[in-house]
Amino acid sequence: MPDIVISVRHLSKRYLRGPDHPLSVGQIVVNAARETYRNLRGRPASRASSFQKQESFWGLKDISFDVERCERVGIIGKNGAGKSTLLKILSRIVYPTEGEARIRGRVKSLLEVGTGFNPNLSGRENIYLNASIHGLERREIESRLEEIVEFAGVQDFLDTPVKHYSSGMVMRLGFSVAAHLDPDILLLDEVLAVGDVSFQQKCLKRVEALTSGGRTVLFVSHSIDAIARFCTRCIWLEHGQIMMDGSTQEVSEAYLETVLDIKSSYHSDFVKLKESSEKLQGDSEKDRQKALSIVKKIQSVEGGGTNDDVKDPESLPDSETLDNEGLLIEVVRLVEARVVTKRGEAVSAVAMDESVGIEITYEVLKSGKLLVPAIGLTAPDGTHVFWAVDTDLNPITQIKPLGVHISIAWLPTHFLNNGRYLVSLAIITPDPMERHVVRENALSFYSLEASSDVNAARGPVARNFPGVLRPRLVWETFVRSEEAERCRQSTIAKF
Amino acid sequence: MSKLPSSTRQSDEIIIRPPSELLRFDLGEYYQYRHMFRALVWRNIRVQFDEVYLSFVWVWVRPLLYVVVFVAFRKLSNANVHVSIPYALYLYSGLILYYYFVESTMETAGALKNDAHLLTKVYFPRLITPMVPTVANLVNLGLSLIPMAIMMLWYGVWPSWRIVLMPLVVLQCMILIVGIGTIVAAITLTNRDWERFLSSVLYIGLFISPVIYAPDMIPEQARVIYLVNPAVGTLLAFRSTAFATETFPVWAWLYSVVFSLGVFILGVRIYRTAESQFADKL
Repeated sequence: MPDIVISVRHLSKRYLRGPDHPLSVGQIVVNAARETYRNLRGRPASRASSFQKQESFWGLKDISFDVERCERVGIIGKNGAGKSTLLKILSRIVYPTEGEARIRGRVKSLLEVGTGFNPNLSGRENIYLNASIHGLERREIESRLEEIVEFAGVQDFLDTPVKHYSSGMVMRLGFSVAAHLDPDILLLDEVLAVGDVSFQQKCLKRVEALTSGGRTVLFVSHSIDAIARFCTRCIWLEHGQIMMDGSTQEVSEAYLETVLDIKSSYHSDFVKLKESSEKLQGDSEKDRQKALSIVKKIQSVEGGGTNDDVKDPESLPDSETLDNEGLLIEVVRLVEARVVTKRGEAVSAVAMDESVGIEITYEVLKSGKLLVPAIGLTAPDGTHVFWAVDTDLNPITQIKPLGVHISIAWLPTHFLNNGRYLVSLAIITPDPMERHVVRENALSFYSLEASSDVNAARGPVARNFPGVLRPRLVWETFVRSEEAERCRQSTIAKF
Repeated sequence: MSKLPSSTRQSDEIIIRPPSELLRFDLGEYYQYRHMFRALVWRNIRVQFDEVYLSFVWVWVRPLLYVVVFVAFRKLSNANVHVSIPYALYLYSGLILYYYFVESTMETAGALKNDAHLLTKVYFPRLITPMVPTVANLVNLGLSLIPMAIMMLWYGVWPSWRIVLMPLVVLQCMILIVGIGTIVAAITLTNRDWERFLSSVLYIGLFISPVIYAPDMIPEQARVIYLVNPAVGTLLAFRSTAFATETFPVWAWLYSVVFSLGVFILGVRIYRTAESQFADKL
């Protein structure tokens, strides 16, 4: 039997969207007089009518889900999707308008670090204050004081008023207390990870450690990377409703596709248009002209219609050659392209420790030419990272026979940084250069933080990595000595 | 750090429902949060005494200055204030309790605003914060009693057995403070004007309460109206517990007790109702 620790049933929250300023005394008097007058005339205003004056909206609408013990659930959504409202209701800071939630176990919610810190009190006193606000007893705090202080790194300033601390120290101290609360169920808001980047990462690392110890975690974030890093399950909220609830992998893919406009697969319109053009072809000269115009239409659709990211329409490929009669003949057609994993599934988000392949499906319509598939990669910041071609030098395999072919280019693991990468596709003939197919930025995918830090390219460094790549290189370090020098020489020789 | 959380509370279940179905008191919960209450009281005390070096002295200086001013006025005007004990002592004893009352009430009324950062971030039983100033300010009141004891020695005024009732009178005063404070706190949530109104009333209250004169000064006809003020019973009872010569105003004080309890219950109810909207509005 599943051990359910959080159970949410039909939870809804209505907010009033009205004039924010309070009623003035004058308005109160006027309202009271109006109500009295109504009452005298025997038409008391119903509660509903006074309610209508303020516009209301549902911050959450009919949310239901269960969380089992030890589950780590991420809640994702855009700003205003209701993530924070849900967390606040579960933290009992605001009440729901309808529905019910049950929580079993010792809950701690961290919507902020350093809640209730007082600048005039010393670090030690603030630790006691903050921890007792979160419901810890004096004894419990005393037993953890040393760890808290050590984690925050404020040993020398323990009896200094917090107002003399740097803001970084205050953050560290606040987080340190939070990290030592030791609950069964942890409700976390991403605002927890404020401050500089390295501290954010340190917080996340700590949370990761906390969450792996058999605790149930609910983590609210709009960063899919943070959720991918330590949530096993993900709930996607949109306009106060659950759009999707499933494994982090599934949900993050769907979320990224919608939110970041990730196109993990590309389908040529050619397939359906071709059928209609084939039917027309070969009847008469008139129809032949008609077919030609359709072919042209196909080209325009394929070349620019499906893609807004094409930078330079002038440089579109000459994907046709002229035959003896001066008519256009296709050499190769792009049928389909996908971003795939080793398991062959199409994906839109790939963890850095997983290999990702770009699969291109194309139909060779005219044999006899050397056809080389190529892919290009553009980094999240728009930097063109590379173009890569199929390195097969064998003309027999590169001169492809008629029919549908599939080429997959595998990108190495621990190679890309995180973010949204765009993929361009091309099929070329090298000499003389002919570009049969070029689709700039036809595909995109999201490179996620590795799901495990073991052997990740980030090593022990917790901060964000700049740059378009984050390769895991081979590192060697020796103490400089004669023996080590010999050792080094032999290693170099090996490579 | 990685020791497993205590399993004793795992059977506890928190049920979150819309507020209308939840308006009941859970005293056990308040007991669970006693540490937080203590920490907040300690914070209030620490902060007050940390900001100035001579804080002890300042607690005494203000009522003593008032004493000097009023004693001088009385000398100059030759007014009859119907006071049987030394006037300075009468004034001082009234002023310290009245200031305790005014300051704590104002702080309680502002508790929602001052602790908004807590209310919007952490769950705790919401009646904790408005009770903090009343308790924290007891330190000031206690300190103020030291000069009073010295004055009593100086003037040769002695307390009777009734001094054991003093904590009861102070407790009644605390109940009154929390009652008024929570009502105002709940109202000021939607309308800040009431806070100004309260402060005006409290400062005027100094002159319609037996602080600077004895109630005998009030004409018989107006006495009933005068006694409506619940602070009258409290102040007279407080003095009676301190000074043997003052009679205990049994009926006036009982009225104050009933009034305080009524206001307290009303205040708590209003506050609990407003509670459901706290985080939405702050």
